[in-house]
Amino acid sequence: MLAKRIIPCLDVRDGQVVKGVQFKDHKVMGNYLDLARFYQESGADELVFYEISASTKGQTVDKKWINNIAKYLDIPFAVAGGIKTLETAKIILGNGADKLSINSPALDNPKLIDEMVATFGSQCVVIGIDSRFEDGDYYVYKYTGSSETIKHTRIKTTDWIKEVADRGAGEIVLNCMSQDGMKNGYDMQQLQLARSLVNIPIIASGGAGAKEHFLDVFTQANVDGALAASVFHNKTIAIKDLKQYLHENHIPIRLV
Amino acid sequence: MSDLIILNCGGYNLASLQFALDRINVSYAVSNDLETVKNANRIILPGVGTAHNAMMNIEKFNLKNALQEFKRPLLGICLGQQLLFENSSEISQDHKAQDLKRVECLNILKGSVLEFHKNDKTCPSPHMGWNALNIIEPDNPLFKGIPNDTDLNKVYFVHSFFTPFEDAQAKANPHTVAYCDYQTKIIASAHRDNFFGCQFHPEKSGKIGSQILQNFTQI
Repeated sequence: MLAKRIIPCLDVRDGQVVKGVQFKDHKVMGNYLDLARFYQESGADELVFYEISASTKGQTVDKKWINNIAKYLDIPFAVAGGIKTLETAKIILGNGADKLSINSPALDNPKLIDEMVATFGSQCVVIGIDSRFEDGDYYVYKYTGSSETIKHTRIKTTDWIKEVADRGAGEIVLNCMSQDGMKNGYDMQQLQLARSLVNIPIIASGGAGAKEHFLDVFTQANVDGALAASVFHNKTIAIKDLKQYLHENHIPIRLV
Repeated sequence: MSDLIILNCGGYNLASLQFALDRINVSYAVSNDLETVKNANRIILPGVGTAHNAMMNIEKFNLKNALQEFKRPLLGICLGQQLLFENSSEISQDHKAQDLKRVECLNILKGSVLEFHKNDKTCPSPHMGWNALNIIEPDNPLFKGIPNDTDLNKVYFVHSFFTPFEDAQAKANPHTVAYCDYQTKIIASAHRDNFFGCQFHPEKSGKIGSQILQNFTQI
C-alpha cells in the first residue's frame, strides 16, 4: 500500500528557517541545510521549503539554495513561495526541486496552473490553499505570508479545490488557517470535505500538536500526507517516534 | 571509454539523478552521441517526458539499435524502464489526433505499457509517493542488501503508466524482479540479461535507492 507521507515544512527567509504563529511573529529555527539534513535522517518522506520573503515582497530571489538542497537530499522536496511565472518554475526545477507549490499566483492567474501542468506534468504541480471558516463557509485567503499583505479572496474553498483539480494540479496542500500554529489538531471537518471533492492527493496542513493528531487525520480524513512545522522544529514530536506510533496503529508508513 | 553514460534523450531535468550519483561518488557523462553510447561501460536511461517523445528522440539520434544491442549493464529508470518493453500507450498530445494507439518501444523485454485508470478513488493516477517492493527475485544483483520486508523497503514512485506484473491469464511477466501493488500488481523492477529497470526513482528513494544505484554500478 502507498505509504502516508510525513512532511516537515520549512519556512525559509534569508537562508534561515523561521516559524510564526498564525503567520505572524517569525522566530528563527535554524539554517535550512542543517534542518534538511536533520529531517532526512529522521525519516521525513518529503520536505517543503516555503520561501517567505519571495512571496510577500515580490522580488526574485537567488535560487542557489535550492541547488544546495537538491545536492544533499535523497528524498523528494517541493519549493513554495513567489512562483509566478514559467521561467521561475523552470529555474526551480532545473536546480533540482521535484515539485512546485503555488498559492497566491494561482489565485491571481489560474491559467498558470494549466501552463505549469502542460510544461512539467501534473506530478510537479502542487497547489497550496490557505483557507478559513467564516460567515458559514470556507474561504480562500492569499498573500498570507505577512499580516500586511494578507487578502481575503471571497472565493469559496470548495470551488477553488475543484477548479485546481480540473486544471490538472497533481496535489493540494490545504492549510487550515484557524488551526495553524495552535497545536489543537488538524481541521478534520474541512479536510474531510476537501477529500470528498477530488481524487488527487491532499496534504493536511495546520494544527498538528501531538502524535494522535496525525493518526486522526489519516484515519478520519483519509488524507495522503500530513504537513507540520513547529512540532518538528521544536522537537515536540520526533518523526521516528511518530512513524513507529502510526505503524503500530496500522497506518501504512515508510519506516527507515 | 566513459564508464557510465546518462542517456539524454530529450528530457530536460537530469539534475536529481546526477546529484544522486555524485552522492555515491560515481562519475558519469551525459550524452546522446551514438559512438559514446556504443562504447559506454554502463548506461542509465532516465525517465523524462512521454514514451512517444523519448522514442522519437532515440530514433532521431540513431540510438535504437545501439541500445537494443548493448551488451553491458543498462538501467532504465521510470519511463526508462517502460521504454525497454515492446510498446506503450503513452502517446504525445499532438499525435493523439493521428489516431495512433501505441508507440513501439525498444522491445527488449516482453510486455506492454498501459495507463492507470483515472477514476480509481482509492488509487488515483499518478501513482505518487512511497510504496513497498515485493521482491520475487531477491538474489538479483540490483537488489543486493535490500530488505525483502515491505515495511522497510518502500521506494518513491511518480508515474501514470505501468507494465502489469500479470497478463490477462494471470501469468507472471518473466522479467519481473519486484512488483508493487497499485490498482493492480505492477512491475516495480525488471531484468533480462544485461538490461535492468526500475519503475520507481532510486535517485529519490533514500538509502534504499542509493544502494540500488550503487549496486547497478557494481554489476
